Amino acid sequence: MTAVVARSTATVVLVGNPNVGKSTLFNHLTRARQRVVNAPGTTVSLAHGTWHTPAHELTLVDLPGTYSLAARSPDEQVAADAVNARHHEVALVVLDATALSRSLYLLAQVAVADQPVVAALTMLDLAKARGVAPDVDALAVALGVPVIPVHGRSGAGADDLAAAVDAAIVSAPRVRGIDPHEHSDCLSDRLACAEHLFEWVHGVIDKAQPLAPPLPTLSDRLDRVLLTPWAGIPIFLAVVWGVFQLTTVVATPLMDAVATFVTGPVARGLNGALDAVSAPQWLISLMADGVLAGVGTVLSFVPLMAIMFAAVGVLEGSGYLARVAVVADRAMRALGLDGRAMLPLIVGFGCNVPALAATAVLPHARQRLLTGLLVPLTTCTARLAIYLMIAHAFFGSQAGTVVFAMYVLSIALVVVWGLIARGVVMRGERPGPLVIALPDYQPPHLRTLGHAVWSRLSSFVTKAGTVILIAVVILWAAQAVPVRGGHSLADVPVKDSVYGAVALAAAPALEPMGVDDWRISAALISGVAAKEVVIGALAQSYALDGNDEASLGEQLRATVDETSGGHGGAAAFALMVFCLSYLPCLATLAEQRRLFGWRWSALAASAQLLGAYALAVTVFQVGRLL
Amino acid sequence: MLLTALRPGASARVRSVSAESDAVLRLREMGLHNGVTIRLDLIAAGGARIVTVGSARLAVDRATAALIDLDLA
Repeated sequence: MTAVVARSTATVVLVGNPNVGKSTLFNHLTRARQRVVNAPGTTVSLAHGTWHTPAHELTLVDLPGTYSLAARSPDEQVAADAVNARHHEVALVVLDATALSRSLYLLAQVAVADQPVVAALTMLDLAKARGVAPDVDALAVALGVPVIPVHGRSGAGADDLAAAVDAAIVSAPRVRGIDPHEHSDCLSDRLACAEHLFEWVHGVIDKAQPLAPPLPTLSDRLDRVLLTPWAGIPIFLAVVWGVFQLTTVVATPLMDAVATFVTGPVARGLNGALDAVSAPQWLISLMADGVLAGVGTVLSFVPLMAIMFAAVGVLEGSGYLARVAVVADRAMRALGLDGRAMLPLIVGFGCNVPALAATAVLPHARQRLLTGLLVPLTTCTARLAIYLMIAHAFFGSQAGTVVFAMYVLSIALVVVWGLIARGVVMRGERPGPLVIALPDYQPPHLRTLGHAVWSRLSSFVTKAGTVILIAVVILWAAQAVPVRGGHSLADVPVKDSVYGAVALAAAPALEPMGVDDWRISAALISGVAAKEVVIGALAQSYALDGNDEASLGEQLRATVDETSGGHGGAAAFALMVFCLSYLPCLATLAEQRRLFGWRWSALAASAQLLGAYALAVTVFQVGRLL
Repeated sequence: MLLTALRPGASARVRSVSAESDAVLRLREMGLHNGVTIRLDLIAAGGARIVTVGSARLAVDRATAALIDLDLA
């Protein structure tokens, strides 16, 4: 008879410095059995996975990469709290063979927290190329805990690691030479504690690593080009330009193809099916113009987001992001941000939604939040279409200069809002010194990249997608429900709908900026759904007036000249300024909520709306005097 | 001499770091502690110093590099 032995459960935390191959190892050990959750009360993501070892079904928790358990950021605090909470049986500490001293310091801190430890040694091939590979057996003897060489990409060593962790759950091995009771100074005097731990680290290094200086590698030679002022900055800008192109030129036809598919064959199929069951007109409208339009909006973002997530993954996995932090450091430091913040802020000029996704390149939660709050102020290409229409209608040959001014204003708003928001988000924290490790360049690992793209894309579709869908259906309802004129549901002119009534009620609020007209307020409300529809909404409203002889620009100009009391230019410029920053589109709001929560996204949107209103009113009131 | 005065290719030993204790701690955690020998590999865009410490390479921004006092090795 064969006995079926149930695996017992246990929890293991994965601890390591940034860029040591920790997440690659996590992906290999847990494969698709993963879920990403925010650490309680924070916006810091934690990946949980299930790892089947011979004796256990383990919950493996991939903690944020950290150099120290003396935390300085929310991410590091989450890692430190998780280690100190001891809700796990074993701490699996990932040691980077190319930076052993730094890795061992973190391992020493885990040992001070009195944890059973197993060490996974990564980057051994790179350490061999540098001539600094440690003697694994000597290292294990010096540490007194299992040291298992692993190759996160190929999975070599994973079986040995599983066996070592199984054994450690039973034997609870402690690190040799560190007595937690002798390091009480770690709480009171962190510098003295660090000195003691480094003495221990040097003792281990002396026993396990060759003394020879590291040999130069291809990474060193690449850095002699990629980090220099004459080539580093142009190459960085070229990389950002490449990402920008990917999210605009490459993604746009894919997004259009998805949208065409949804509004074409899928919509026809849906309409046909609903007709076949004699569904009422309002239900057909709800399904086609509400639900399907919402689903189509979400799906059309999928290729764009997949491209952005893949680009972020390649930049992260290749080691180039650490160089970006160096090259762009001085430019971003004034805002209290890491140089890597330059990437999402530039991508935002293409589309804000993938730009928010690109905040993942930043190592600290508060920096991700601050950058994410600034992204909607970067003027995306959808807003460009609005500027062009208004500028051509009002400023003729000066239209190009006026549109350029909007881009300058967008950059100025990022800087001004950044300086204001820094005080709130960073809570007085000054940017610390930039001291970062430069990992060796590596080709991206396709399986890890695929995991990362899939995980982030799933999160976007399920979390941000739900919000977008609900919002689009609400917008449909507002346009479908009549408030006057005796129309039936879903068969109502815009002006007679709830949407039209809200636009009519909102129009007087636009009077101080010289554009109090219901068609303009309706278009601005539509712009919250997507900036792309502002012009369409204006065209739809003007079409109701039946004036087909004048162009949309001419009709808008006639309206604004009247509402502004003859100061059409000032009012038009004020309207453009308002469009630049009044509210992000739904997809941006949904992605902000997914990443940072309702509180921050609502606070930022309210502040933006008030700021845009004040600025637009000022522009009109000053402009009319000139 | 300060790290900002070191020429690319030269090695030196860290004598002291004149920074707030938190910054000193972070530098120590990254391997830049008193007595360790470092080599300046290059000066990057923006003035950051790229140094080899042990077997690892670090980037240190210019302002921080100006706080690191060295003895020529």
